[in-house]
This record gives sequence, C-alpha cells and structure tokens, in this order.
Amino acid sequence: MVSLQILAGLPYALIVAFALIGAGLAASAPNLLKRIVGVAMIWTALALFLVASGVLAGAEAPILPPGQGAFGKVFSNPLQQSFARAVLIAGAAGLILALAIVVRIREAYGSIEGDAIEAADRAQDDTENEA
Amino acid sequence: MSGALFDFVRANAPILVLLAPLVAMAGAALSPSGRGAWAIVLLGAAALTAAALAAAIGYDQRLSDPLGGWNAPLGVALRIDGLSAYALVLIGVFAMLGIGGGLGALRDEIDRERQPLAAAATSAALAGAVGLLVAGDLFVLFAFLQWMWIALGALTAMGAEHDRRAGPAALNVVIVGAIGTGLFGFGAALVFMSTGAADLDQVSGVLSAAEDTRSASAGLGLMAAGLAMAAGLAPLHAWAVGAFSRGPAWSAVALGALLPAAGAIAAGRLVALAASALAPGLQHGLSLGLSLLGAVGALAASAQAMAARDFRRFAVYAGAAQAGCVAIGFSAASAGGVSGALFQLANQTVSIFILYAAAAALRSESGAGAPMQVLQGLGKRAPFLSLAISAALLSLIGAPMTAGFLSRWSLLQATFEARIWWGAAGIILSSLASVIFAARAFERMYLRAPAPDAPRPRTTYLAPGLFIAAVMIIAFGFDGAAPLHAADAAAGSLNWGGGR
Repeated sequence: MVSLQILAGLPYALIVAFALIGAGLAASAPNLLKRIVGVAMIWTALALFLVASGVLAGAEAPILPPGQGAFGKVFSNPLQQSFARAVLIAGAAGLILALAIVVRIREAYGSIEGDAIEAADRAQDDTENEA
Repeated sequence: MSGALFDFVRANAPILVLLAPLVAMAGAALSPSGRGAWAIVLLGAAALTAAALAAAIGYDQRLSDPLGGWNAPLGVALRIDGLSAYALVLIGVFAMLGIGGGLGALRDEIDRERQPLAAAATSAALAGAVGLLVAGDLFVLFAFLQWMWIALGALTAMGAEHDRRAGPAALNVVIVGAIGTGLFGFGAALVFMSTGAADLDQVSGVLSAAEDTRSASAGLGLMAAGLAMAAGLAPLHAWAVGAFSRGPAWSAVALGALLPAAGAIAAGRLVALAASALAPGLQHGLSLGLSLLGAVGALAASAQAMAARDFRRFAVYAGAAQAGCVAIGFSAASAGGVSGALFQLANQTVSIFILYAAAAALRSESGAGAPMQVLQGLGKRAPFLSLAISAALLSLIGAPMTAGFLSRWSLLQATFEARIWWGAAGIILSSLASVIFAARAFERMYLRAPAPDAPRPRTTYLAPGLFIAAVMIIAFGFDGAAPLHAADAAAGSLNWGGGR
C-alpha cells in the first residue's frame, strides 16, 4: 500500500521538481531569455499539476458525445482542466509582455545579459548621484 | 446620494468597485489625449471610492455577489467583508489623490501617444488590486494577481522612453510577479486538492470540520507567500525598488503606496484562514515564523533605507520596513494585533504616498532618478513640501502627535499581550532605525544650503494630495479614534479560530 502511495505521488514530485528548476532559472539565470524560459517552466508545471490532480485511472475526457448519456461512464474532473486553461492564458499573457520588454531592452542596451545591463544601470545611478 | 441610489450602490458594491476601474481602463485606452485619459481614470478611482464608502458606511453585514446568480461551487462570487471594505476605502482614497496629483509626471515622462495607454495600465493595476480584495474564489484571486503584475509591468516599461533603466525594471516586475503568482497557483492547487473547494468560504467551512488540515494549510501558506511578494515584505521587495524608483514617477505616485497595501491585506486574510485551521501548537509556530520574518524584514529594509542614495529608493525601503511591522501585527493573531496592523498599514500608505508624491514633485528633466541631493536645502526652497515630508517621516518613526505613534503603540501592545518578544523587539528596533534614516533626510532638508541651480519643485497638481495626506497624519495623531475604530471593525471580520 505504501509503495502504491509513493507511486501515486511520483508525478507530483516530478512536476514540482520541474517547477523548482524553472524557479531557479527565472530567479538567477544571467541571460534574460533564460529567465523567461524559467517562468514558462513554472507555469507549465502548474498547469500539469492541476490536470494531474483531476485525472482518474481509466476515465474519459469530460465531454459528452452527442446523443449519449453520461450514465455508467467515469470522467476526469473538468474543473481542474478549466483552471489549467486559465493558468495557460494568464501565463501566455505574461510571457508575451516579458518577451516584448526583452526586445526593447536589447534595443536600448545592445545586450540581453543581465550582468551587463545591471552594470550599465549602476554606472548611470552613480553618475546621477554624484552630479 | 439619494436613498434608493445609495441602496443600489451598496447592494452591488462588490461588482461596482471592480467595474469602476475596469470601465475607466477601457475609456482611457480609447481616449485621444493624455489629459482626457487621466480624467477618465481619476473618475474611475472616484467611483471606486464612492462604492467602497457605500459598502463601508454603517457596515453591518458582508456583501456577497455570486456572479450571474451562480453560487459556488458552480459559479464564483465577489465579496466585501469588513476587512475588504476598510482596505477598499484606503485604496480608493489614495488612488484618487495619487492619480489626481500625477498628471504633471504623466505628461513629462511618457510619450504623448502613449499617455492614454499609461493611464489605462494604471487603472488596470488598480482593478487588479481591487480584485485581490473582493475575489471570493482561489482561482479568481490567482487571475487578479497575475493581472495586476502584468499591468504594472506594462506601465513600468512605458517609462523606458524617458529613462532606459525602466526596461529591466519592468522585466523584473513581470518575472518576479510570475514567480509569485506561480507560487500562489501551486498553493491554490494544494488547497483545492485537499478540500475539494475553490470558494474561500467553502474552504474555510471544510477546514473547520476537517481532522487533518496540514496540506491545506501549507497551500494557504504558499498562497500568502505569493501575495507577500506583492506586499513588498522585505526580502521580496526587489521588484518595487525597480518599478517605483526606475519606472516613471507617475506609477510610483499613483500606485506605489496602494498596491503593497492591497497585497498585504489579501495575504493577511489567508494567513488568518490558515491559522484558524491549524492545531494550537502549529498556530504558535506560524505566529513565531511570521513575526521573525517581519522583524528581520523590517530591520533589513531599514538598513537599506539608511544607505539609500536615491530618494525614491529610500521611499521603497521605508515602505518595506513598515510592511515588516504589519506582518508582526498579523503574527500576534489577535483582534488587537490585526487592528494595529491595519492601522499601521493605513499610516504606511499615507507616509509612503507623501514620499512618492514629493519625489514626483522633485523629478528631474533628464531621467527617472531622484538622488538624495534633491532634498538639499528644501526647507528654504519649498517650506510646505518639506513640512509634508517631515510629517511623513515622523509618522514612519512613530513620533508622538503623529498617527504613526498610535499605530506603533497598538502594535506593541498586541505583541506584548501575545508574548511575541521577537516582534516587539523588531518594532522597537525598526522605529529606532527609522530615526536614523529620517535624520539623514532632515539634515539635508533643514541644515544644508540649497544648491544655487536647484530647480523649483513642481507641485502644481500634487499640492492637494500632499496637503490632505499631511493633515491626515497630524489630525489622526491627535485624535485617532476614527481610524482606530475602523481598524477594529475591520479586524473583527477576520476569524482566527479557537480562543485566540
């Protein structure tokens, strides 16, 4: 029984590990695009986590074929799937904005390396504060 | 307002407070001129405040609006209880003062053709903050959180024409926001998996009957952590440094004070829900952890404020230090502590608003920076502006005869009653640290000679907001009965469970 419980938890553990790798990338990758990839990983993992929590073994997709009843059938929980869809939409909106901002940063700084940009910003701060 | 209209507004307040900034957002985006968009957004903030006041005046019951008549679990509901009524009035008033005063900054810093969009993004972020307070459902809360971050990121990025440093700051807002919202989403998924409910009322009902609530409480903790990022609690405030010190001064004056307040109150509500579901031993651990986090955050942010070389950055750090004190108040897990925390949060909002508005008045032509030198000799150059700044700083310290004294006092009382010595030490030490960083500002303002070429502060639009905020600090410092009573009423609507 215990081993079954561990097996049942395995997908969640993998998903959370995936999300943590994404969080690490998003928080500390030097390249701005890699940071955005990290964010995408977190949100993908979140959608997977939600869908995984609604799946039943041997269940069908929660769609009624025309002319048939639901009697005697087992469906996956549609609620988590609709949440996952909301997560995907909200995540896509954030990603698009982030990518657009990276384009503008590249135009203004000529680089998408976080360290170089940070150094340029600090230099500008210093000249302002000493003026 | 006539009786029938008042009743209508009051009954529909949960949806009206949300619709006001959303409609204003659409109107502003379509407006041909920046000034027109600004007027529409200001009107939206005024409508939001009116609806919030209607909900708050003579508050006697929670208002609930199941959208489309669908009750949970099939539908989602918007709700206003005492806590959110308090927060909505606070946010509405400061949105009005900030947006009203920000017109000069908006026109100076944002390209002419983008001014309507910037005003629209501001209204969108305001709607997100309102959504955090009225959403009755975990996943609606999630959507509003991401909505708020995206709006703030877009608004910050619009400052990049004026100062390119706004670009990386905006990216940081979007990425940090997405991490925080992701954290919140995992927490919401955990809560949903362990309770089978997404509606906050139903979650609370399931938790109060459940035997083992640990995984749901962990989920609530993750959600609160995601919101604490929006609250700008000290280790998580790096985004605010970028958004409000490198982004346009317009966004700092219009949103800088109120977004963290909305995040803090939404986080506090979830912490209270988690605490009410936990066994007493774990409840104690939660209090201890939260008070430690608050104390460390308050001290770290105070140290940063001492070292700040930029006035707007100084304001961000001062706000983060106050957020630590608010967290300590919530950790006392008593009606007194929460009421103190809410009063402190209101004072923080007033003081930080004054600092951002002053920074906007002292903005430079060339870039977004406002080095501390702008304060040099301000006492002679602009006596009223420096008086307002002084009132804000004294209130942040908690000096007697300012509103900050009363809120620090009630926070201290609550931490002593709850025997949270860490928290009490954090409040006292951060108050002492504020003396040091405020002294630096006083010294610059009153003891140094003004630079000969220093530009005049541009307070044309900002003066009314600065005046009202400074009068609030002094008036409530002498007679704090009204805000204390409001904070008590708001705190009473939180359920801490058990005998605590």
